[in-house]
Amino acid sequence: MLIKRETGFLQRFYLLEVMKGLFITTKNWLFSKNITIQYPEQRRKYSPLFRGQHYIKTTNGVENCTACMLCPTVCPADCIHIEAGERADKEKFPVRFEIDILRCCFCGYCEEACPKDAIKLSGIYEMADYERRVYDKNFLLIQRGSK
Amino acid sequence: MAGGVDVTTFELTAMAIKLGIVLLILLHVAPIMVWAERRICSWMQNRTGPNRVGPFGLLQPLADAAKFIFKEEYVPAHVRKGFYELAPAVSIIPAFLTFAVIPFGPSIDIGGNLVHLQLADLNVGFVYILAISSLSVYGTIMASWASNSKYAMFGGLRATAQMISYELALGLSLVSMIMVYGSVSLQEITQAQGEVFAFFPSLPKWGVFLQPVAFLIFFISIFAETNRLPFDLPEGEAEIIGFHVEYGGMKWSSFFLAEYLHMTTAAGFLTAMFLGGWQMFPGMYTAIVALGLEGDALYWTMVGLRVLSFAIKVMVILVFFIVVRFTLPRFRYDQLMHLGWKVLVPIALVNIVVTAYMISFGWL
Amino acid sequence: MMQPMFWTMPQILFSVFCFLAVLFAVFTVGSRSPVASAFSLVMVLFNVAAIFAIQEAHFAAAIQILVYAGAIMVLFLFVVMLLNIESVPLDFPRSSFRYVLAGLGSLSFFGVILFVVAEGQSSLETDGYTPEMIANSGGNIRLISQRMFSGYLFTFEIIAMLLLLAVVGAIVLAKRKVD
Repeated sequence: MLIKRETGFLQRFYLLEVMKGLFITTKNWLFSKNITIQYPEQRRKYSPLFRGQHYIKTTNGVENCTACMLCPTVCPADCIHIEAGERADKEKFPVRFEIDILRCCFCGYCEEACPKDAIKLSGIYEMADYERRVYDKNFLLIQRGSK
Repeated sequence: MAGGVDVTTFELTAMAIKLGIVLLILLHVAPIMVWAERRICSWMQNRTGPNRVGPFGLLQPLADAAKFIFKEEYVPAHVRKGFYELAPAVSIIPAFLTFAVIPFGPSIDIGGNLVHLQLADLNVGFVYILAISSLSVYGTIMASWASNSKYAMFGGLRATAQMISYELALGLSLVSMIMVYGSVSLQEITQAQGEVFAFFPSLPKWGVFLQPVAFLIFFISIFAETNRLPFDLPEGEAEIIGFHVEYGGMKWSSFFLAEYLHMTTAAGFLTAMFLGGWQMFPGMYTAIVALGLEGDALYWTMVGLRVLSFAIKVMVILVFFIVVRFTLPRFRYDQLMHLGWKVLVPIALVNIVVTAYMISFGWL
Repeated sequence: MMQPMFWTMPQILFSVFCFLAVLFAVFTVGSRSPVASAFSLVMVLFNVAAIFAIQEAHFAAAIQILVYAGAIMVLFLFVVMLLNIESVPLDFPRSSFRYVLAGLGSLSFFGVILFVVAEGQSSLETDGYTPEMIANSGGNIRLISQRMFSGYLFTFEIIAMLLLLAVVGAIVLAKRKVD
């Protein structure tokens, strides 16, 4: 909404107002604390509920995942691709487990849906990389964080 | 100079040394000002600013310059080639020339030879500054015309109109100063500012106290002349209608080098004219007398302190330029013209008449 | 008698600036683009100012740059740029009569210059103003302003009046066109 303010007599001269403005900026310059942080050295503390880079939790070196297909079912972005298979020590396990990370929206539904506490979203938010990562099983099995 | 003047080797050496020092300082002002501008701006906005390259980010301008130098020298196909290449040089040369007449210290005595701490004590004095800086508008015109683009043209037209309008107010504010000091030589004006008021001896007779109105007009006008922020229509950061929209790399940054040089010269001019030039701050003299220095030591301390005073005053003005830039919003074009022609020029004219009356009554 | 062929520094500078002035004058006349012509004219004025400065007429040099190069030429350029004339085709009527007139005009002007050069042995009347006298009485500016506001006050005021009239006339003409 347009609010018309009356210009006072002193404000018409503009100089006093300029002085006030200069006073405010100088006050900020000399006396106020920076609100920014120096990122790579200082880091902001995120909530433990933060949903970052994915990983698949292992127990004694064996992945928790049983390829139950609950996470690709619940995934709203449809970005989890699992191929199930059989193994001597495990009745059902994911032969392939890939996440299309470009489509992932980090909603965390997969983590909630997982009955085996296998797929997890860690607190890592620096996901830029020097190579073109495929979020395949080998990569996801790297344990990230204690969640 | 028909017969030629006798120039001794000493004078030539002194001249060369002075020239070298002044050029060195002028060339370093721009990078340091860029750094200061970015740091002070960020401090005002509660940020930190560039602090990665070198201590406190002081080498940031060097990194920027390296980037500019190694950028591709892109010349758009539609420009008028020769003038396009020429314009940055045309804008930068007057910027370097103008500092010559600004005295940055008193005349010093080295083994019986007098050395003026000023590059050239021309008998036209500061009229030289006005003349040469009026040429700097050609860099702008040439750049805007050679770019052969609408936005550059509009920027150039606005810049030209602005610079010409405010030159008038600037010149008129200086007329009253000429009347007060009866001289156009900045060295003489500075010397005259060393006196003190009779009724209040601790207040020096600086121009700002003798002619506060002229000071204000001059101060506002140099903001417009150097294209600094309340009047930065020529650059037009916000809507990118500036005279240098078609420029890039080192050519573009040489326009900015010229802007910072103009700022330095303007600050030096203002200092010499209104802030007592190299005259020491009140209280400095009492301080060195209290220290008990005598003879040569006293002399050289005073010379040093005077040059230091000049430098401090110029730096304060330059920092003020920056503070103003990040405080005030920009004037609209019609407001700019209104302020220049309908406010500053009439006030300057009235000021001249009032000053003339005061001089004829013997009050000044 | 042969003069020794050593030129002093001012003489060399004088020749250089004269040469440049003539060169840019030729550019001014010869250039197709009006803006380039105007820039050349600026250079001519600048070189003339330099010649003034070599003759120790520093004030005249400064005023030459300030007024002609700094203000008037900027307005010229302003107008040329606003009208946006690209380049003017040379399509004026090429009648032989005009050629003859132009030739006569330039010949007579050349004759005047030749006459001046031939008669140029005697120095100009300086009215008692020598460089020493100017320096002793406080410089160019002081002397010029003293003369201007004492002996030539009436002329000065008349010129000021004329300029004012020109300004008023220009405003009237511009207004009439708008209305």
